Order: sequence, then structure tokens, then C-alpha cells
Amino acid sequence: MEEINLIKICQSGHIAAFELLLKRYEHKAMQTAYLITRQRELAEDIVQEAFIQCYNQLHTLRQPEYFRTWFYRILIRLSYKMVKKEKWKSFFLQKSVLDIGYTPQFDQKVVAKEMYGALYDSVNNLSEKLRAVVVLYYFNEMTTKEMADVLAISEGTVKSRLHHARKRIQETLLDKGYVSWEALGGGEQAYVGNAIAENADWSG
Amino acid sequence: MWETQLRKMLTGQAETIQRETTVADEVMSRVQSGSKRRVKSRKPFIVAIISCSILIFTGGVYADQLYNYWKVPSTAEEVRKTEELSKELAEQRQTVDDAIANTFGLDLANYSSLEVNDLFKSEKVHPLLPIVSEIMDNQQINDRKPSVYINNQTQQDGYIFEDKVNACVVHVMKKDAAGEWQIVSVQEKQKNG
Repeated sequence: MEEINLIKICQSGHIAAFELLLKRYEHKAMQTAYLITRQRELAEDIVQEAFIQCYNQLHTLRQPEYFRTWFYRILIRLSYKMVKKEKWKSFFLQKSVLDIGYTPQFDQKVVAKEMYGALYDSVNNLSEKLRAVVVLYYFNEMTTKEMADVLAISEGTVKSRLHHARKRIQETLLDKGYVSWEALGGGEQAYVGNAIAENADWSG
Repeated sequence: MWETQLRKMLTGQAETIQRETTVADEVMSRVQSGSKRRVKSRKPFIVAIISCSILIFTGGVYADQLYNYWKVPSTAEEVRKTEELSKELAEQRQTVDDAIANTFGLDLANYSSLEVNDLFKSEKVHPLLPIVSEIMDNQQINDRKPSVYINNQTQQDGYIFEDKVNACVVHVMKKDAAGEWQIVSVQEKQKNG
């Protein structure tokens, strides 16, 4: 209710209220944009532009309770657009798209590091559309219904994309030996990499 | 479950983004200044549209002129005017050729004119084409296209007249033993003034 009131005040033109709203969503929006685009500077541009559009179009939002999905819709649409633009730029300028790369934490166990690396690679190899559903589902913890509103697609399509994304990630993990066939089929998890874990020299 | 690991990995990645105020500051400064984001690409887009429009327009004008120049006369009036013009040009050419013949003391009574354009249009290579081509290659701007005259009776000799800017030239040609046309002599006289 508090956020709804805040949004209504913003809609009346109160800039200070908009600043409060901005600070609430800024960090998460930055993180989401970064996870989708994998470029920090691009994510900053996207988030800035998203908030500017949000400010300019806030008066068109008739149901303030749906602000979150409405805002993320703007964010995701801008992310797609900017990523496409960057791809063309990198194609013509022959420069590679920046990818900061995965930097595991020092205190992570060896197996976890390698597993995280494999997961990182598999997510990065997904197309923007599949990566977006993965990020919105696993990081933003949105429901499929919310994702359907954000992405302006049907819930069925969201589920389909999620299914494809999971399948691709699983295939990558299977290839690298981090998931066994039994694990894919459900039931108790049994990492093939257990043997590595047993002999690993744990750090920290 | 790998999905749990996936969540952790994504969260770990997201945590590399520190809480910064620069984005918020930038947004608020733009909001407070009341300036909307400029569409930077609009101006070049408009310039491109105008340039293309000009190109299309001028191209259309040029094409229209070219069409009128090259098109085959189709109406009766156009055909009549074309024929009149061709006749006038032929008469002019004849006048000049007669003047050249007089200058060099030549008699064209038994000679018939050969249209030079037809030499280039024939499907097979005309025997005179190499000679005439070479003469035309050596011509300068404003020199008139050469005239070819062949002896009606013998078909073995002829003349090529050139009406140049500063001179008149007569190429005397004959067929050799092999039946090939050869230039046997070239005579030139400078024009007065």
C-alpha cells in the first residue's frame, strides 16, 4: 500500500517521491540489466533510460499496483534493444562484446567453483530471450504470470522458454559431468563430480 | 539441485554490482532539468530522407530528359519531324562532301555513299570497319564523322572524306590482291581562317 501511495504521489508530479521510488528499484534493476546484458556500462545506460521513460510515462499507468511488472517491461524491452544494437556495433567494428567473466569467490569450494563456472557459461550461451526468463525466474523470483506480463507474452510461452532454457543448461552440465542422468530424471541428486569433491584440496 | 546452484550463481554475479548513486544522480538531474532524451539519430535521419528525395527528384528529371532524347519517335508528327531532320542532315553532309571533292578535284558521279553507322551495326565485321574505326579513333572533338564513298562499277576503290575542324582530309583506298581494303594515299588541305 505504501508503494501504491508513493506511485500516486509521483504521478501527481512530485519529483522527490520519484527519487524515493527510483532508489527502491535502482539496485535490483541494475543487477537484472547486468545479468541479461552481461555488460556493466550498458546496464547503467539501460537503467537510466528505463527510469527516464518511467518518469515520462508514469501518468499512463492506471493501476499503480502493477508498477513493478510495468517497470520491468520497460527495462527488459530496453535491454533487448540495446543488446541488439551492441551486436551490430561489434559486428561492424569487429570488436567483441564485453563480457566481464565469472570470478568465483575465494571461499568457494573447488567443485562449486567449477559448477558455477559451468552454469555461468551455460547461461551466457543462451539467447537474450531465454536468458531473460532465467534471470527473471531464478534471480528476480517472478512467477510465470508476472513474467508473462513483463515480457508481454502468454504464460504458455514463458513456460516453453523456461523449459528450453533449463534443457540447455542441463545439457551443458551433463556434458561437463556435473549432473547425472538420474538427477535429470528427478529424485535424489547425485553429482558425478563427487569423486572430484572427495579428493579436492578445499580452500578456506 | 542444480537450480539452487543456478540461483546462487546469479545472485553471486549480481552482487558484483555495487550500490552506486551515479545512476540515480544522473536520472534525477535529467528529470529535474526537464529535458527529455534527445533522439540523436533524428537529424541525420531527416538529412538522409531529404538527400534521397533530392536524388530521386533529380534522377527523375534526368531520366525524363534522357528518355525524350533516346526514345523512338512514335507519333506521326514525331516520325515526320525525324524524317525531315534526317533529310536535312543528309543534305548538309552532301554539300560538305561535294565541297571536299571539288577541293581535291575528285568526281563522285560514279561513287555511292556508304552509311558509316551501318558498318558498326552489321552482325558480321564489315571489311571497311577496321579502317573507318582507326580514322575515327584519331579524330578530335568537333571533327565530323567520316563519309565513305565506294566506286559503283568496280567496287574496288573508294574514298573516305574527313571534315576536321582545321582541315579536309581524303583517304584514297583500294582493294589489294587479297581483296582487303587498304589506304593507298592520304591528302590533306588546311581550311582558311
